[in-house]
Amino acid sequence: MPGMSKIIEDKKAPTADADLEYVVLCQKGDTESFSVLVGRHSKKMLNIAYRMLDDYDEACDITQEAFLAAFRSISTFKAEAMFSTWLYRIVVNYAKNRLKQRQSLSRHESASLDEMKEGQGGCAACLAAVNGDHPEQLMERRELDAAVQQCITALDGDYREVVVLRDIQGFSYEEIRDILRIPDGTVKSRLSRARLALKDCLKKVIGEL
Amino acid sequence: MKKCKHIENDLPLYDEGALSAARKQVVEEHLADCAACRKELAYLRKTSEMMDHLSAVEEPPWFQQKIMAGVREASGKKSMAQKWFHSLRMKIPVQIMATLVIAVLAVYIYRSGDEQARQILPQAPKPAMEILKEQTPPQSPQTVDMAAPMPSGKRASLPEPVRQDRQAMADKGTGDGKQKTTAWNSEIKTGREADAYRAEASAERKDEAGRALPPRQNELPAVQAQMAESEKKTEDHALTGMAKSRNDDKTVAPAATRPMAASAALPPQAGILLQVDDSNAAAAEVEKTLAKYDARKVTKQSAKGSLWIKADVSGKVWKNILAELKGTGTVKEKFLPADIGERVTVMIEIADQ
Repeated sequence: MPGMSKIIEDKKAPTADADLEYVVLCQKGDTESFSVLVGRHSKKMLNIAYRMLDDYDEACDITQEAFLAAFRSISTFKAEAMFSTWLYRIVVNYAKNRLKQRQSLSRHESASLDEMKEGQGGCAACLAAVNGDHPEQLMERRELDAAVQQCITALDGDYREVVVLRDIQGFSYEEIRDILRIPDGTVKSRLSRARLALKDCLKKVIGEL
Repeated sequence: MKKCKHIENDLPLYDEGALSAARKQVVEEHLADCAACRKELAYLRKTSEMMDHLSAVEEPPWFQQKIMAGVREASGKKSMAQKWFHSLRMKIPVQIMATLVIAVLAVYIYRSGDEQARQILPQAPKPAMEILKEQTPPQSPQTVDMAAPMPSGKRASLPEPVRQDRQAMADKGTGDGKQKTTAWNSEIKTGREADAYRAEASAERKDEAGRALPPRQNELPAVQAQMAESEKKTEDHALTGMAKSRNDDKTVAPAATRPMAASAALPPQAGILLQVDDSNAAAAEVEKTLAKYDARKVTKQSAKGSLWIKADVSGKVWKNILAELKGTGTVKEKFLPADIGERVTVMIEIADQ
């Protein structure tokens, strides 16, 4: 069961921040050291943004913006938390802001936005192909993924971020608490409600699970 | 058995071991008896499985390179900004601004003080000390040197009213701009009243001085005390302060300390020593001459064996008066103003030869 592996993750001992060395170099003015940090975290940041926004192009933009923001304010990073936690917080905040912008836009242009959403978000070429999958199985899998993503997108922003971080990216409760800066109890309650909502949504979309 | 609602929110967290032991036991007991909740748990597990199997998206080509290009651009801007603005914003401007503020403030204070002085005194003559230096030729040892410090016995050779005015002006000059101008105003107003009163007071004292003349060396302080006392009655607070300072400080106030503007607050003053055979007869003649030329505020008093006559005369007739005085006795010009205006206050010391 997937949940079991997450229990082990939660109990792992805190490790030294492997990014700190490059962060310090960046703080001293070595811009090229930042490329190491980009290489390490860009994919995860892109996936967080993608699952939150359900739009591949927007997710790419947000990830770039988040990296630039991190670089500009890297001198303020004080190593009180892991650098990755700090970085993921930036991308989550950027994604949440984009969602808010989208919501305010949708109030004015709800009809046209619905039409747009029909054709956007999906990026079949971008999704990692699983080796050995039959084309039919692959198609089925993608449909299932789209349904799950649809249900994730249907969640409120606060529930969506905890589900993305915990159930998709596999962060521990502690990491989620640090990224979102909310108490443990809030993380748990939000996650519980988000999972129940997802289950109900998937029942409606797919039928009997 | 607990109701399903009570454990509904615990079910999604049950598999992760995120529940406390007590909560977990409650959930387990409920699940053992409730088929519906077991089914819900199965749905939740299936949902979790589907989430786990969501495919990760790949980065577009050159994605990291694009990010780094943006970072390098930002770095270039940052360094330029640091080069041009960091030092400017943080260090230099603070010093420059401080210097500018001080400079502007100093100029403003200087100008505002000057303007106020000009409003009151449109034609500010030179300070009396400078006038003296320009006009008074090197004098013989017998004549009074106004600028040089005198031995204590000879300090009083400067006419008392002149000393009063100078000391007052010197005292006033140490105050700030506003106080200075306010004091000048009151001085201009009250100066003439004080002179008028002084004329009366000196007329009363004349007899007293004749009756009981104190020893010569103590004579002048006594006269000063009398005058200060009479001034106390008439002059305002500022002038009272001046009188006090005169009593405290017996030295002749250096004329150089008198501010330029202050010297113009009163009519220019001229000091003359008239050496005659009979001072009383000469004094009568001098008074006659002054009356002839329409002199105002004529006061007479004796001190240190000399007679002092102070009068306010027209600048136009000043030379005529001087010529007539030369006929009375030997005239020595102690000090003369550089520019005699409409009126001039003349101090005539009549001493026996």
